[in-house]
Amino acid sequence: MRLFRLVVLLLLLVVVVVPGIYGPVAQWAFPDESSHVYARVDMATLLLQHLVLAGLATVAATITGVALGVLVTRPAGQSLIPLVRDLAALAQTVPPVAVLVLAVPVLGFGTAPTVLALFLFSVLPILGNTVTGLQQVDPALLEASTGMGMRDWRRLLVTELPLAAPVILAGVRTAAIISIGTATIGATIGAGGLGVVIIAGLVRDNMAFITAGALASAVLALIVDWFFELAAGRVMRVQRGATDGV
Amino acid sequence: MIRFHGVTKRYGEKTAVDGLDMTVENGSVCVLIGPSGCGKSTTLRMINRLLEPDEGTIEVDDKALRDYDPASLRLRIGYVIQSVGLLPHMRVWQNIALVPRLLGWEKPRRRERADELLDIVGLDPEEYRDKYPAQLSGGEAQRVGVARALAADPPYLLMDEPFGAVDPLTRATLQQSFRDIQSRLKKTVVLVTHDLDEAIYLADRIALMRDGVLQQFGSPAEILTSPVNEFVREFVGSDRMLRMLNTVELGAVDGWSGADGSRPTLRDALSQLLSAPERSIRVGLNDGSQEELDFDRIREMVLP
Ligand SMILES: Nc1ncnc2c1ncn2[C@@H]1O[C@H](COP(=O)(O)OP(=O)(O)OP(=O)(O)O)[C@@H](O)[C@H]1O
Ligand SMILES: [Mg+2]
Repeated sequence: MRLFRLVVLLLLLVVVVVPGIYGPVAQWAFPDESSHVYARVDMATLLLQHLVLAGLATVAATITGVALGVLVTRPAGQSLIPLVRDLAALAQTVPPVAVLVLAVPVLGFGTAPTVLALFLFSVLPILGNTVTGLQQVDPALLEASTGMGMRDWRRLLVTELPLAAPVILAGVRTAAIISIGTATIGATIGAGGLGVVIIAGLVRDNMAFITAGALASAVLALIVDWFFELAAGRVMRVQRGATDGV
Repeated sequence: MIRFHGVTKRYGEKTAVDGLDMTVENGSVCVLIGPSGCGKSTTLRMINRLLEPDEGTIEVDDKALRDYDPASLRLRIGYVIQSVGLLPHMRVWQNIALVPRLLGWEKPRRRERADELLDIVGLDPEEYRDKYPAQLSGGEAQRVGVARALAADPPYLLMDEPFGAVDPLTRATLQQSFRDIQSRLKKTVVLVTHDLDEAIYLADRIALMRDGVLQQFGSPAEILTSPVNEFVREFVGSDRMLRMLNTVELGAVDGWSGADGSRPTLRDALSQLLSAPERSIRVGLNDGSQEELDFDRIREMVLP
């Protein structure tokens, strides 16, 4: 059933991305539009750009968020936790478009400011979840780990991070989905991505273009989410003590 | 050998352990007992440096604790906590092999060692090695906790209420297993308990504490027969001579049946004697010989 969902999503993506298929479909759906397939750049390229924008931002945000989360949960960093939480909440209220506008004078147009905006937006759920996940680890397990002779870094790797993994993963999942949705704004400053078709559609008042871009990014988000769900299932099973394969 | 010299530990205003002097001999079991909050866990956790004393010194193998690197020290001191603390994301064998892993043993050797330990603590390796902690009963988890502490064959063992969270029958079986294991392995053990009968059954030396102060330190028989003050007398109770019966283990008593692998004590023999038509019964001793047991003989055996 779950695999079926993935197949449907992939098929949908193929429909939107392959001009030979999307052309006739759009013609049927939007008979009044003059053109139906965005011709300047092909959809597959835009899709790839989109994935790279969101992917770069998410990977960078994961590395940064987890590293910061680990730092502030160490004994020396504990006092920073409230600050981090406030910052996280605050930054979440700033719209990514605002970051974009502010970043352009510094980083210019293109990919860099877009990835920065997505990164800033993604780092917070990941940081927040890393802190929560690490704080949730049963103190008795920490005592047992230290008591049996693990040094701090070893305890982090063997005990804390694996046990916090489901919560951290949930943060990364949120961040990735938000990034894919938000990456469309990159088109406004020349970073490419699926936003390009949407904006073209808005400018020319062409529903076929708008639908292509919106549908592609939505389906992409759902596909990525599908993989996260798979991973989350794996992690949770190990967490609770798997009953399968034993 | 573990030596305490005037060890004091404070939490703010509160003195949790107050001027403790005590020596735990090699190969012996020292049981810390006393009312809740008297400083038992605090004492235990100073031995593996999870806590540092405010005053005094603790020596292990004639070397002050502060001269050890804490992590390497802990590799030589097995640690069992009440909540067991098995890592839920690892299989039983991986949990048991954690310390060997820290010591850099190769994986095949770790697996082999985990199997040996499962055998020692009375769990079938075939059945248990690949389970996850969530799939174990309380008693099985406790056994795995003990196996984990013994994995790298440490000379020392610290146990904080290791048999606390299980039903009385399982508890008796675990105590029995522990005694059997200890008689083979001869570790230097410090064990915390709330249960006087457990202390009497397991201890070579009992340390009875109150409000951080050591009240009496001696063999179970000493504590029971010559309490040094009113507190100790009250703690061991007016039925203390009955408890003494538990300190003498027998090989066999007719008509007795107990938990798997457990052995009868003089207390069970007395119970049989009370219901016997004759003035004496025959019992098997630990060394396999037979003995005619009457009330006078029981009194002799209790008061060595
Ligand atoms: N981290 C801490 N901060 C402040 N006080 C503490 C701390 N840990 C223990 N105490 C206090 O120190 C005293 C001794 O505590 P400890 O845990 O050693 O007692 P215990 O004998 O093990 O008790 P129990 O039988 O209930 O486990 C108690 O009064 C307790 O409240
Ligand atoms: Mg305690």
